[in-house]
Amino acid sequence: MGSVELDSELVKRVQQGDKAAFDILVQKYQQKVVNLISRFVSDQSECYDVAQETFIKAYRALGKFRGDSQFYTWLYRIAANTAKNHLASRARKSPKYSVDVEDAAYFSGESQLKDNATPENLMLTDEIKQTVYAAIERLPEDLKSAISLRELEGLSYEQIADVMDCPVGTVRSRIFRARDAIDRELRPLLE
Amino acid sequence: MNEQRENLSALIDDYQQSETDQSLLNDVLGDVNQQYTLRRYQMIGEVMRNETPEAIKLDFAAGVMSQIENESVLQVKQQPAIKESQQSTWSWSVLFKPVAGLAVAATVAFVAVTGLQLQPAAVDQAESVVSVDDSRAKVEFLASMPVINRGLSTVSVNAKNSTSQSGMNWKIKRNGPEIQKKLNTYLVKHNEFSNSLQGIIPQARVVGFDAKK
Repeated sequence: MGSVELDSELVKRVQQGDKAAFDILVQKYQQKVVNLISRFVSDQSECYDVAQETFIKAYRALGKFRGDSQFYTWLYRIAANTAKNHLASRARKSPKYSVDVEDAAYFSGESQLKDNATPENLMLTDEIKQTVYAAIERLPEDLKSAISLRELEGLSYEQIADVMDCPVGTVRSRIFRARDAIDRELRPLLE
Repeated sequence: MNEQRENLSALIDDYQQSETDQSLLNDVLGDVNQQYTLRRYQMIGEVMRNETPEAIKLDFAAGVMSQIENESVLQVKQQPAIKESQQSTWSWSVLFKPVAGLAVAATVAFVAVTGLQLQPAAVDQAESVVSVDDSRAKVEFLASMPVINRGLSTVSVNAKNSTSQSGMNWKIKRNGPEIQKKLNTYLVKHNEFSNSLQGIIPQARVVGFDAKK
């Protein structure tokens, strides 16, 4: 089952009323959607708000989704339109915050006022990144190469097998072992 | 357990797996721990590709799910079964509109053309009072009107002094100046009206005034 088939299956299940399937779709595409929206909306906190709105709209419209296009393409369009609408509505609104002239020099924007970019969250994000980087550094060379070719170069298992001159099954196993090793260190941070 | 996680790892890499995919998906959907594992595997890739934002919003998906929690269970909107009679109505309505429009246009055109062709004979038989011969000035006046000129070439009427014997024709007193005046006024007004409706009416209005043309 490729990504497209997996998405189709998940979409079908959502359409049959399985909300857990939509949760997987959200987790799968949340970062891609946030990254897309960030091209329109510079404020990161707003990006998440718009991304959330995107997924809610997508959920509500999923009943009409016939699979004529790929799910992500469809979701991409919703995200882009939601971001554009957000910008348009923001342009019509007056600023949410009024800042005194004396305080303006110390005012760094409303993103700091949102709960997402709290010091704890910033620290946790930094810790997650450091943990992943450190875990990769400790991986054996074959595992590090396999997961790097997959995640950074985007190669398929067959292509990686060609590059590393090994069976596809071995590639699959190496990538899993690499992920599992990193995950073992990442899990305590997220539990 | 390892095998299950390895299948998860392959699943997010779009690696074509066996027919166990469906059962794997069922397992994931029914097991929160496997969903967390899936999410962490995805997060590893995002961190490696430097796609993570300054502050990861870990509860993002939970936020979305809580928003849609109260939404009614999503169901594919099935097309309502179309009854045979509804199908029939639909197909008729689709076909009926253009055909009906064409039929109306054809009928009007037919009536206009045949009416024009038949009217001279009727006028011959009847005794129309509308005398074109007697009012040359009127004809010239009307002929000078651009729309009437356009219609004159298509109609040939040999009007004679006559009165109508049929209920369909006007009974007009012979050579009554009031009547002629009224007719002139009518024709002028009619001409104005005809300008807004191209095609049929402009031909109809010149009947009776083409004899001298």
